[in-house]
Amino acid sequence: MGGEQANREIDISVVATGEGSGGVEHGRALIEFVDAVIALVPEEIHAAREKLKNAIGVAGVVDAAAVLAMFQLNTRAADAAGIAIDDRTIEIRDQVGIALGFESRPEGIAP
Amino acid sequence: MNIRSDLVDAHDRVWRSISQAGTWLTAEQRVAVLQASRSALICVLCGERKSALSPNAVQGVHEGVTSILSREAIDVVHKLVTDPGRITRAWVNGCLANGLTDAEYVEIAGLTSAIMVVDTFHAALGLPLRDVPVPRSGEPARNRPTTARKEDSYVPMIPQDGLQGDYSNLYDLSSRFVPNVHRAFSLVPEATRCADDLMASHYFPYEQVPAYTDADHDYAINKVQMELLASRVSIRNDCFY
Repeated sequence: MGGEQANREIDISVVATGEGSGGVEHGRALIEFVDAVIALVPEEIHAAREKLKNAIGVAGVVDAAAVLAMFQLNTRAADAAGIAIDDRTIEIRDQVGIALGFESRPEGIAP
Repeated sequence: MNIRSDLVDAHDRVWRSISQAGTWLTAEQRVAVLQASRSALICVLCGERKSALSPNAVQGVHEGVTSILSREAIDVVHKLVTDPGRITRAWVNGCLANGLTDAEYVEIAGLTSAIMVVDTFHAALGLPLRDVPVPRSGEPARNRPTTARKEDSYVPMIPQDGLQGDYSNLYDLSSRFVPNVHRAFSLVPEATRCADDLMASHYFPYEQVPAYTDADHDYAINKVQMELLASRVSIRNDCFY
């Protein structure tokens, strides 16, 4: 399944599979950076950060760290408060969910 | 490594807020939340629960138990750090039935989440974690927003049309869309303001997220790359939202 932004096709399944770049510039290195940081293994973080730095530079690494750190809050805010999905995003979410397999959860709802 | 000053300044403000009395928690309790959030990462009980099919069936004692925080408060911090995707309404209700108030729960959750931003950023860049601050004197404000109401969420939130008084500017109503994630911690408006502060420097203001394009920012990565990062973090944290 593809998503179109900035006039180019993006394979959003990469978000779930973690394989490939999804057509996103340096997508593979960005995903490896996220995975290493979430796993919190210093050696893996170092390796992923160096790879990303070679691809997008120090400023890019800093901005990537900022975004991924921010979503440590946003995901927890959503889960802690048990918020409903916004109406306007339900339709999009359903399309994405089918592509990524989220709809396979019991009754299609969050645990 | 050259870190943008707006990021450092935002982290400074989070750290300063940890050392001060909050809305419901004392400064000592807020500092203890920081310590608990770090203890959670090496907590054997949390590790066993994380790998268990039924996490609530695994009993034990958390790493770093302190008398400053109640058992329920420590459990909230550890759960939020290590297994946020499996927080359920029943689990939250259990915390509240065992003595936490809904507002205390929200303050603990908001603070833990903000700490995760700062500590994750430092870990990602290989920087040493910030020192634990010394708690300052002062009393919690204990002001509950009177217009917060229970919706379908686990805790009450301030609706879009419920802004008033000292939280009249909590959302950007110039946008027609206030995402629920922005309202998640609104039972404690200071927790929402803390999240707003972090969003402004780390990503985009909540209400402006849908409209932002690469022409509107000067980050060194583009919005497609940012969305990829955000989505991957969400899926790794098993976040349905």
